[in-house]
Amino acid sequence: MTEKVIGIDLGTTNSCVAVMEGDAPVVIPNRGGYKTTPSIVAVTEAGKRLVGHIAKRQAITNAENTVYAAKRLIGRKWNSPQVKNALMTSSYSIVEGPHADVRIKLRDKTYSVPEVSSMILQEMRVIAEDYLGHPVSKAVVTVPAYFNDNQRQATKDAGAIAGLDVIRIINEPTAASLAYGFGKDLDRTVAVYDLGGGTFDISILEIGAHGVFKVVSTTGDTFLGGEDFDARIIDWLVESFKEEHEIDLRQDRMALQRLRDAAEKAKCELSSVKETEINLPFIISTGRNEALHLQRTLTRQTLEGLTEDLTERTVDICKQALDDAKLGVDEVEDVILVGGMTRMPAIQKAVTDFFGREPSKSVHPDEVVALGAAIQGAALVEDKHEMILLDVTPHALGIMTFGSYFEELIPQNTTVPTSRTKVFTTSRDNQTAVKILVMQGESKKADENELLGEFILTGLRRAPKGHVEIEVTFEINTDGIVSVHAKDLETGQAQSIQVTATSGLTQDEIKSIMENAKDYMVERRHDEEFEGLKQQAETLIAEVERLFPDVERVVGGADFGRDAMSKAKRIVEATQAAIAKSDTAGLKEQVEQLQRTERMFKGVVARS
Amino acid sequence: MGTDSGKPKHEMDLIDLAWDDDASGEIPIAGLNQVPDLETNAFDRVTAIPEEPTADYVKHAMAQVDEKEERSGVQPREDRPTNKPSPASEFEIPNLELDEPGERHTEDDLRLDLSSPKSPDPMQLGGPPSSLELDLETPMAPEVGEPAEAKMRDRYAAGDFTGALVLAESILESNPSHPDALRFAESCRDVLLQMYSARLGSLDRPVYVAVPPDQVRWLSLDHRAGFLLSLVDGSSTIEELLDISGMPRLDALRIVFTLFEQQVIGLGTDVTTR
Repeated sequence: MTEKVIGIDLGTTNSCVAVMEGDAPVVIPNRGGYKTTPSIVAVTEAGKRLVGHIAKRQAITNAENTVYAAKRLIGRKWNSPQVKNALMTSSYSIVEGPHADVRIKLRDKTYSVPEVSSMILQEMRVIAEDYLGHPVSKAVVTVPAYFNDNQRQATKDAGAIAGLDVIRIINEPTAASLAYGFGKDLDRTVAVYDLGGGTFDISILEIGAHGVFKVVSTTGDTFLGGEDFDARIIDWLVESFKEEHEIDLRQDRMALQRLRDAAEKAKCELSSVKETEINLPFIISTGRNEALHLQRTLTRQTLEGLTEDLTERTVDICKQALDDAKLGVDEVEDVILVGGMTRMPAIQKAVTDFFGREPSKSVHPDEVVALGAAIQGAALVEDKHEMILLDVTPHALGIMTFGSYFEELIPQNTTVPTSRTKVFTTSRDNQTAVKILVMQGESKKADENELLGEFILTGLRRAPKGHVEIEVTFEINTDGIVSVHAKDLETGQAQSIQVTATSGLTQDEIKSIMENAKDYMVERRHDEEFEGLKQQAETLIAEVERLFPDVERVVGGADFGRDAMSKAKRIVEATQAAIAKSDTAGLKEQVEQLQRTERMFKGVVARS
Repeated sequence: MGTDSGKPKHEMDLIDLAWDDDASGEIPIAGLNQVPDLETNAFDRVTAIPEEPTADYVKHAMAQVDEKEERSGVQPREDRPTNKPSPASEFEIPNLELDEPGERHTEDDLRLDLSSPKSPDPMQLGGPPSSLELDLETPMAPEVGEPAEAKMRDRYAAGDFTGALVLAESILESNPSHPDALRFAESCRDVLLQMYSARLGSLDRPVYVAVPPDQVRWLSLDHRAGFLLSLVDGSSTIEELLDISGMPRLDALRIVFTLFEQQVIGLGTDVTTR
């Protein structure tokens, strides 16, 4: 039997894990029964790690030590605009790492971003293992289509830290299209409208015959999502409360946490009902120690009014995506909705109005990406070539030329391995050296793209500008490693560089973090075993104690009776001691003793 | 092992004889046969084990303190204002004296003692630690905080850990590195945590709201209790509530205990294997 590969949608706000069961992909619910898990990690005052729903529930009251939207930071350089933005907006502490990367400080420890993401992936792995009943080691993980090589590598590193071999990274819209087209032989252009909790992405894809999924254009807003809709409800509640009581609920973290939870709940409810009650008793105490309640009715119409501009913003971005793809709106043959926010009727109406067609109802917006990843995972291990996605370059690769322009050598979406060559000339008279700046991106302006590496080719012949020819070759091998060669065609003088994607962590660092993560898992599994035994022991103790009077009555004042009773009491005490000491081995022994005691007591009572 | 002379022999056949086979003949019990570490764990120290039940012991001890205070012209404890009320003072332990004076323990009570986790009885183990008693004898120059410090020690000695903690915290407000106040505060917190934990039973029990939703607003709660109550979803355990409350553990546990005592919340069975 081939090993099961899980598909993970590692989202900015929520994550989801799926696996192929027979011929169909299924989403695996977590222990709480939810099919998505918040991508939130926190460390409590006691140093306990919280992941998922439980971390979300304390996100505001323990804001400094709760990491959300780590995906916005993964694989980013410290000086990138996105990190600067996060520094201004995040409640947790973001610090510079030793390799110009980003680190996150929680309590007294600093974590790399892949390490934080690995905690979420580890949680998804545990959810899958609990469901499947056996260990899982392989995964396909999805990332946004615009992720560059470093971000993809960082996501792979996060997987490795979580004990997962990430056999393929695939684009989220591609995964969604894969699930949408699963079992159908489609050949069409689709739009994937993905409005999640924290980000909005719109991608135009061409689904071709024989499993060709080409991302024609992708754009979005990494700071637009469901949370912004929640924030509008919170504002509305806070303002009305302020008008009534002259108290700003934002000043109280507990009140704000409750408002956030209530706002999200109300928003979700308004997708299916026309109005909902927001009832928050004892929201705050006045100076006179009098508790105040908040009670409001929110209608769908009010919510739509409060968030109209947000909905319109997504439509504007859709226009841009079509412009980038050089397609007319009538050329889009279907629209796939992804993300919980797309359940909002106003969003569905806006999408319908813009694209001139009803969006597809055949996929589940929260699950479709993970399902696509699971389909791809199964195809990879089962070698189903017709469903295997081609590995392509996520962004164009090229060099910077005179005037800070970007000259593209390898276009976006080129299948790897590949190699392209172009000849350049010198830009100044008597130029004896050229600096080759290797870049990645789609902008014509070099400074808007990402610098991957640089090197200098020296020893050029002195000549007027444009007379010396330099041949530049880009090569990408099957492992995605980019090599760039520059050669003076006249002298044969050559220089080269190898660019490997980096997450900001060295191999040694990854290894060390992996060890820690392994230790954590061992400890966690041990704790789970202990808790299971503890529950069993406490049930047995209760049963033995329930039988005490009856046994006492049966055995009366006999020596054996006294011995048995005192022995049973000693076992109960020893069990409680083992629980107090968290002694798993000792507890296991005592549970066996308790079971025998219970059997014996029951036997005595039954015969009496 | 003795023989059961009064019972028919066939009953002996029911007994699993191997059940009583101990390799060592001893069952290890935590805390016994160990030298208590006086400096690091005040609750392993058995400085005063009252003969009477814990609740009665507390009542008597508190009564003695009140009596002394009355004799010395100090206001009764309930009415006396503290130096600077801390948030903790809002959450005085709700009625520790569960038993009426002279009330006899039923057999069920005794059985409960057997089933409750064998954490050290805070009332017994939390008596005045010897090292702190030594400090009392250390000559100290008169200082501004001296009365509060003395009261803190008195309260602690009398087993009023909440009162002692309030006093310790008020001393720490003006002198955050006050060594004795730090020690007393930590010690009081530990004892109180153990007390509440012992009274609530396993912290892995799920919490549910025990009053109908439409009646919640008529309860007499403050916003912190209201917040904790809002976290109760029927499946989260006490431990999880403490983790997500964002409050100091003791404050959160005290509120959970108060809500439980007021029957605003109920506790389900342990769900540690969820």
